[in-house]
Amino acid sequence: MVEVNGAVGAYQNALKQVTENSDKKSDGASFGDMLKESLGDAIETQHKSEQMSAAAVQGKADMIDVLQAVTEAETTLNTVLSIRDRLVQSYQEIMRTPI
Amino acid sequence: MTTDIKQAMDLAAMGMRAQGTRMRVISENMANAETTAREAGGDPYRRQMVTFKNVMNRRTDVNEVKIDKIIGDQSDFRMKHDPSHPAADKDGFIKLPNVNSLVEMMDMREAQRSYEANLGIIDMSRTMLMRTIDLLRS
Repeated sequence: MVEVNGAVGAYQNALKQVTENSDKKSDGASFGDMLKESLGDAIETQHKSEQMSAAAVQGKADMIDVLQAVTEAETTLNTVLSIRDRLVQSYQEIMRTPI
Repeated sequence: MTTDIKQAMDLAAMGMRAQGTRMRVISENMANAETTAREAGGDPYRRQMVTFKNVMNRRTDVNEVKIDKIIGDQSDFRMKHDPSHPAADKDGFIKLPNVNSLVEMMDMREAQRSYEANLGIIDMSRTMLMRTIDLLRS
């Protein structure tokens, strides 16, 4: 009887901990914020590369500057895209888990 | 690690810019290889030379290459006997620029090779970055 009571108490404790944890807001930036920020970064580099390309077409920018801007935009966008792909993949994996 | 690769690309781009300036100066020399003085007995075009310097970037802690000075070559001018030329002195000699097209050709080759080497660095750095991102994706 004592053992059963102890087990019930342990379950209740665990349940309490889980609900407390889910209620508590995380202090740091969430993953969504991080993703949003990096996406903004990627868009900014894309804008820069576009501006550079336009300036080069008008003969105002150096070809090397365009190369730098385009390469940076490309790598940043690719990084963000692959992180997003990984995130969606993990989400789908969780959704497929039979309960 | 990726910042290092990015810095490598930036440095290579600076090297390419420097070689571009060098190429421009070589082109000036070649274009003015026969430019004589405008008045009789005057000095003709003087061959220009480019010197590089490395500048420490305190923010990123790397040595960058910059154009230091574009200086005139102090070697003697070529002399040619041509009394009918408007720039000829009283003895009938004209001074021609101290530009040797063979030397300029060699300089040009060197600039081209250096530019290509820097381009190779950019290409390789880009490949490394892309391969890393591909690994993240798969």
